Amino acid sequence: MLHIGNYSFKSRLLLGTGKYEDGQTQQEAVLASRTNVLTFALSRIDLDNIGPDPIEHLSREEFTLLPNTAGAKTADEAVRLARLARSSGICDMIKVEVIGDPPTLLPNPVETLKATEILLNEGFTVLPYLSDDPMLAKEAEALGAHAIMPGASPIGSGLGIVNPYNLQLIIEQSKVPVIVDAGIGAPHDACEAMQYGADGILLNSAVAKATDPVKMANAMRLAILAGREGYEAGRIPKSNVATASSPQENWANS
Amino acid sequence: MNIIINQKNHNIPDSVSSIQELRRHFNLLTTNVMIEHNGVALTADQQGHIQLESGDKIEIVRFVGGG
Repeated sequence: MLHIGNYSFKSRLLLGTGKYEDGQTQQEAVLASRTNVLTFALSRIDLDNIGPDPIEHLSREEFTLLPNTAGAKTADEAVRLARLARSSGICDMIKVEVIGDPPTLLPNPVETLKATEILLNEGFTVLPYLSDDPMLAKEAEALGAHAIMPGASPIGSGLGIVNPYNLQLIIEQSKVPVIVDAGIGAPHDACEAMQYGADGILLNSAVAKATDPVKMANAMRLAILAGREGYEAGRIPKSNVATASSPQENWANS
Repeated sequence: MNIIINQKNHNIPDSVSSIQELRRHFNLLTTNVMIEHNGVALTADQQGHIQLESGDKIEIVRFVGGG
């Protein structure tokens, strides 16, 4: 079980809902992933073209919504979006996302921490999206963040874990859950993070933009399970020299 | 009365006096939307009580796909 604040989730995969070709594919991918948490963004409604409600058919018993503050460039904007999200009455979790500029879309650490502090004081369950900086993770945890969400690499890049050293430091030091968020490209990236001891993975593009999103959703589910099992099983230490697995009897000249 | 919704000017009938009625006016009663009135996010309960005034700034947002 993944515990974040007062929430408990069976699945350790948190799935984004952006970038899918169509609603049907998305729905099937969500089911295949067996996720319990779906992320959403907030957007101004087009009053001339209201269209279908993206969360209308979502079972609230089955899925917990994790809204993000995408679009915010300052702490104040993130706080504003978080308050709007909570006013829906259907969730009090918030992924604090204060993005800097293209091309990296890396989070602005100063504004992210500011927003995190304000929202914690207002009683939100706060999951800040951070870069993979152990000091930053420490600061967010000290403020009381309910989980730390370091990026593996830039959003949508699919580069996987570009700094495994930093990521492992964050995982080892953190007493709150670490959800690796952003940059996952393939199942082995998710598996690697889980093998390090991450508590969960948040991904979107890797599934939504895969050739077969439904199959990839299942692959990610399995990779995360494998990584977690491997972490709990305890891997062998690495060694620079071989250790034989079979008897090394001498058969020469006998 | 003139109000600003999602950064655009809208001229709405004076009979639309509350946020709840504004939702009815735009056919948004059954859609999940979140509403900010002059910078304050409103719960569903508050939407029936807030009276609209000319010049009010309203934001109407919804959940959309995102990561």
